[in-house]
Parts: sequence; structure tokens; C-alpha cells
Amino acid sequence: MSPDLSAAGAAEMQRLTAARALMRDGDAFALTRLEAEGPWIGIARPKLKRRLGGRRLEIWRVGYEDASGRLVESRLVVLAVDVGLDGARGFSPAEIDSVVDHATTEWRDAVARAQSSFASARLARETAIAASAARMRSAPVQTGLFDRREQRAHAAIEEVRRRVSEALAERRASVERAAALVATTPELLLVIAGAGRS
Amino acid sequence: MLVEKITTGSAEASRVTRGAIVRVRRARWRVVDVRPFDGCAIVTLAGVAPPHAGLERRVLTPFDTIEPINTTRRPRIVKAGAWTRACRALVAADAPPASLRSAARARIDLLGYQLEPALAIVRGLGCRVLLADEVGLGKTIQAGLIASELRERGAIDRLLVLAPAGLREQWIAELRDRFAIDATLLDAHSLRGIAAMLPIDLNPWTTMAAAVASIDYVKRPEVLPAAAACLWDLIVVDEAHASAAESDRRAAVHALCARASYVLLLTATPHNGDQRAFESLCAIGSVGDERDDPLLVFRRTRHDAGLAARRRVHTLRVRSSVDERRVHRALARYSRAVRAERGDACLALAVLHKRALSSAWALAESIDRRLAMLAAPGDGAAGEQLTLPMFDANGDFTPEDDAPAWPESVGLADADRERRLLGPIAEAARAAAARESKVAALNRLLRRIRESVVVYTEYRDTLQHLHALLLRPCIVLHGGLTREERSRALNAFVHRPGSVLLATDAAGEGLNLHHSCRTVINLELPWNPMRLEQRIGRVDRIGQGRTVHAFHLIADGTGELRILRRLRERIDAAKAAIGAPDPLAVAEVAIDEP
Repeated sequence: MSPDLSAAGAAEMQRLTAARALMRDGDAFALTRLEAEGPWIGIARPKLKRRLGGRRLEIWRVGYEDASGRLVESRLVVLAVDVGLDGARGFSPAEIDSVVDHATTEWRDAVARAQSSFASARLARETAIAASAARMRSAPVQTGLFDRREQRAHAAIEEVRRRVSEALAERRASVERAAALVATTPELLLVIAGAGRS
Repeated sequence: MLVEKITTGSAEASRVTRGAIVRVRRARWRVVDVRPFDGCAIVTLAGVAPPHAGLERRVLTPFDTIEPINTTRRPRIVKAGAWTRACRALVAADAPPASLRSAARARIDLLGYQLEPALAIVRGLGCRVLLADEVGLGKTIQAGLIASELRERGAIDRLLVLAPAGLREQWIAELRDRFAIDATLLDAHSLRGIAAMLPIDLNPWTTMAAAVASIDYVKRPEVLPAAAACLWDLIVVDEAHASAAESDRRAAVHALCARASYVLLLTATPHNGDQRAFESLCAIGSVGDERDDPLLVFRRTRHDAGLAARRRVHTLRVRSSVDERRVHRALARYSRAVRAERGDACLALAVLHKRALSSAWALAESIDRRLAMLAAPGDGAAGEQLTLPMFDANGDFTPEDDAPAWPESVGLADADRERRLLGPIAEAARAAAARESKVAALNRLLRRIRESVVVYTEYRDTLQHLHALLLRPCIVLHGGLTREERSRALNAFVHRPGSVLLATDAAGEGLNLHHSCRTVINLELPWNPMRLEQRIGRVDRIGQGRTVHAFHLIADGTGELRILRRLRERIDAAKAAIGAPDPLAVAEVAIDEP
């Protein structure tokens, strides 16, 4: 099979080129710190504050984790939140969930499709490997009257085969586990607000 | 959010969650993921403070102690610079599903076609890939992209690269420098060192997350069981065409690949005109039918990749000397006698003709050995025994450029008659070897080319003979060099502009020489079109900024013109089957005049 992914390759190259152009030294580390510490609030300068017009900007991240807790897909959702005169107005968690859910419906469907395809290819291969390993039969061994070397060699081969079968079963189980993604709760990462209005 | 209990039943059981800040080995880290196993867990950590900032490390608990640090995630006001940096990183990482997450960090020039195989894998189109792009289009980079992407997704833990012995260091350097994958070279020496530090029943192959080994080392009967007892998640087979034909090598590679979750077969020359060998190549690592276990084939030419073809091929016809013509006539007489007596020896006789076309010296060496065998027939049996790899414990050497053994089916029942026929060949060959016309032509050519040149030949004895006769100082690269000698030779060639590298196919395969050279001279035509393309491909690669020149030296009045015609047929067959490149295309024919 010769898949034609030239259009996808070109689009991916454009996306990666843009991402590289955006990144500077230290950006990845700043993100690691942000993920460890919690939401960061930036104070808008007067010009930006005027443009926000009494709202604050919130950047949320929704994602999917695999069975080992690794974030495998994520999406940013940017919300402009009206802030009352006292600066205390915001969304309730339920409202956030609802808004984010609404904003990411298509993306979630796409994640489900992509994950299903990736996982089923892996599972099909693992299943075929297990079936092929199960079909392998060891050669019959002639028991010696006095010399046990042949039997010991045979036993050693069988032991390796048993270990490999166990490892294959374990790997297949881990592929099955990894196939099930868990949606994370929306996570507030960045806020930009006018001074005294966060 | 996943919460996994990491414990061996001790009281210090701790709960580690993704995103938690922990202290490990006196440094602060953030937990990226936790992969539990029986009684232990692999925890991936990202450094959050210097000197580990931005680094990713994996530790095994409970053998490494992980202490959670009580940090409360709470909103905090930060300076505009930090906010902007984090925002930029977030936006850059925001990608549609099934995009490549590690490629932006890789130290590579982004080219769309190089991303396609990795995209095919993450889109679940298959788990076996044949990367058969033309030489020099970056197959190593594409393999590295797949490996780093699958690691990023937690889909693979163990990576094994099977490469020719001479390319092991190159693989390690590429994986390290471009993809931050630390691979270990596994050979007899390193495995001995690793085994010495492990309990006696622990297989040292299982302790490596990423390993690079030579195919010829792994296929050894004393090595293969241990390598195969380890389940590899991704196996990359470089120069996979060398494992296409039925052989120990192919059996070993298939045994390993048939249990790997992902298999990458890399070759620029998948088809040598033999359909059966191509099918055998495609079946490496296959465990099911095409529906369950499809092979994804990527075959792109320079034209597909949007790169202009800037290769000029020159065929230089060299007039044979009187002695050389005498050698070929005497060899033809001997061949006729053998064919008359043993009709099935045509193929075996080809070996002798190949030696003659390589150099008169090479033929003389073979004939002398045969005459010695005829003089002492009892010693012949010793030659049939396979040599043990006593002097090559690490698998550094590549024996393919050794002089071939005398074919069993070539010989006459009457030893005296055979001696009478072989004697004149040896005599003429020694006389011709003193003044070989191709060597003279090569000397003239090298006088005109003032820049770095790679001269290829098939046999090590021809190379050594050439080394003695060439007027320009040369650096030699053949299969009999150790890792260190080989490394020194390549360093010398790369760092000394204007030098001449004499290489055999076996030693020169897979090298990247395009930054220091653009000219390849073929002393003789290889009979396999793949070899011809491999030779030119060492300098005709992405990043080569100048027009590449390939010279084929063809001996007039010998059978080499027939080989040229046969090569043309085989290239056409491979071209029709898979669109293989044509290393003889746009040939400019010139006559070499002394």
C-alpha cells in the first residue's frame, strides 16, 4: 500500500514551520513551570486593557490522557469573560464545562477517530504477532538414555518461549489500555486581566 | 486524572499523579506520565529547575525514590515576559489530532515528504513501513521522526536499529543530535561490559531502551537467541535490501521483526530487477495477511521531493592493453574448457570474469590460489570449513569485499590440463597488473579533478593494488578496518579537501559524504544496479549544493560492455516494477586517450 499523504505532509510542514517560528529559547521551560505552578495571571498594559473593554482573557486547555496519564491530545480554548464592576464576576465550573464542551465538539470527534485508527492498527498487529507466536510449535525432542543435554536445551528454549509469550500478552494488554483515552477536566492556564480586576 | 499507586508493599507508598511536582535525585521535576508494571513503575519526568530545566528523564520506582513536593496550584501574577513565553509555547503546541508532536523540536530542516511516513503511522494506516526513497532523500531522518513520535506518544519503549557495521556510529550520532534519543552501540565488547554489571540470569539486550547493532553481529547463532528473547517495540532495518535474499541474515532480521510492534525497512534500492527478492524484502516482519498487517511503501524520487536532478554521468571507455586482452583471451579458453566438461558452470565462471574485470591483479590472486590448491589437493578441504569470528568479536569487519572462494563447480577433472590452462592466465595477469590501463586512466582523470573524489571498487585486493599504483595520496576504506581505523579514515577524508577515498561497496554503503565531495568514480561496473545507485548516492544527497559527477570506467575489448547492456536491462526492469532510479541515465560517453 502506498498512501498518498503529500497534502497532509505539506500542511504539517506549514504548521510546524509556524510553530518553530513562534518559539524562542526558554518558552518550553516556561510552559513546564506554568503546568507545575498553576494559572499565571498577566496584568494588561493600558492599551490592551482598553481593548479588553472590561473583560479578562482566559486560556483553558482541554485534553485527553492515556492510561499512564500522558497528555496525548490537547486543545486550547480562549474565553473572554465579562468582569463586573467589582471584578468578581466569572464562570461557574459548570458553565466553563458547557462552554468548552461546545467549543471543542468537532475536535473531540476528530480525536476519537484518530485515536481509534491509531489504536486499532497497533492492536491488529499485536493480535497477529500473538497468533503467529501461538502457531509456532517446538521441535520434538528425543529423550536420551544417559545424555540429558538435548532435554536441557529444549527446556531452556521452552522457557524463553514462555517468557516471550508472557511479554507479548503484557504488551498487548498495555496497547489495549492505551487505546482508551480519558478526557481531562478543563484546566485554566493563563489569564490576562486589568490590574485589580482579576 | 490518573492516579497510580506506586508501591512494593512498603510503608513509603506514594501516590504520584501527572503534573505533580516531585523531588528525584535531589532535583525538582514534574511528572509527565506513570506506567505501572508488576511491583514497579516507569515514571517520565520533566525538569522544572536548572540544571535539568526542559530535560525529560525516565526513572524506575521504587528503585528511585520519588518524593512529592507539596505545591498548591494557585493563580499567581507573573511578569509579562514569563506570561508571553508560556503563551507562545502553548500556542505552538496546539495542533490538530494526529499531528506530529516531536517534529518541531527535532534538529532537521522541515520537508513535507519526510513527514509523511510518520503521519501515516500516527494516523494508524499500518505498523510496517518500507522507506524506499531514492538515495540521499533523508531516510534516516524519516526513521528518526517516526521513532521520536512514537516515543512521545508512549507507544514504544524499546528501539533497535539494525545497520551495517560501518553505519552504527552514524546512526547513534543522528539519533542523538537530531532527535535527542540516546542509543547504545551493542557489540560483543559492550555486551560483555553490560553483562558484567547484571545478575547472571538477566539478558543484557533487555536493559537497553535504544540500541544500535550490526546485522551481521546479531545474526550470529550465539547472539541471535538473546537479541530475539527481548521484545522490541520498533525495529529499524537500515540497508534492508541486504536482507532480502534468503540467507541467515534475512532469517535473523525476520525473526526479530516478526515480534516487533513497528518495523521500518530502509533502502534506496529495494528492487534489483529480481521480483522474488523484492517480495522477500516486503515480507520481512510480516505476521498476517495484507489486510491485518499492511506494508506502507514510500518511494519518492528527487523529482517528487521537488529537488532538481543535478547529476552528470560520464562513461569513460578505456582501451585495454595487449596484456589485458591476452588475459581475457586466456580466460575465455579456460571457460570454454570448463563449460565443455561441466555444462552447469556458467554462473560460477562469472565470478572469475568479474575478478578479471575488477583488475588483472585480482584475477592473478584468484588463479594463484587455485594453482596452489591444485598443487596440494589435500589442503582444499580446509578451505571449505567456515571460519569462526575469532578475530572479529565485535562484528566490525565486513567480509563482502574479500576475494571470493574459488567456485566449487569450476575446475577440470584433469588437474594437469587445468594447470596448463591456468598458467598462461596467471602469467598474463601478472604482466597486465604491472601496467593496468584502468589505473593509468584513473591517474589521468585524478590529475584533472582537483577536488575530493571517491573511487569505488568491489574487491579489497583490487583496492589495495590500486592504492599502491595511484599517483595521488589516497585514504582507504574497506571491510577489513576496525571501527577506529574506519572512523579515522572518514575523518581524514572529510577534513582534507582534495583527497581521494578508495572504497569498496561493502565499506562505503550508507555513508554521508555529500558535504565534502561531489565526484564518484567507478573503477568497474558492479553487476547489480542497486550497488551502482548506492555508490553515487553517497554524494548525491539532500544538502549537496553542486552538480554531482559519476564516472564509469569501461574496459574496451572485454566483456564489460556486455555488462553495461545487462545492467541497462536490469535497471529497466526495476524501473518498470517500482520506478527505480537510473544510475546510467544521461550518460556522456568519452574515449580515454593516453
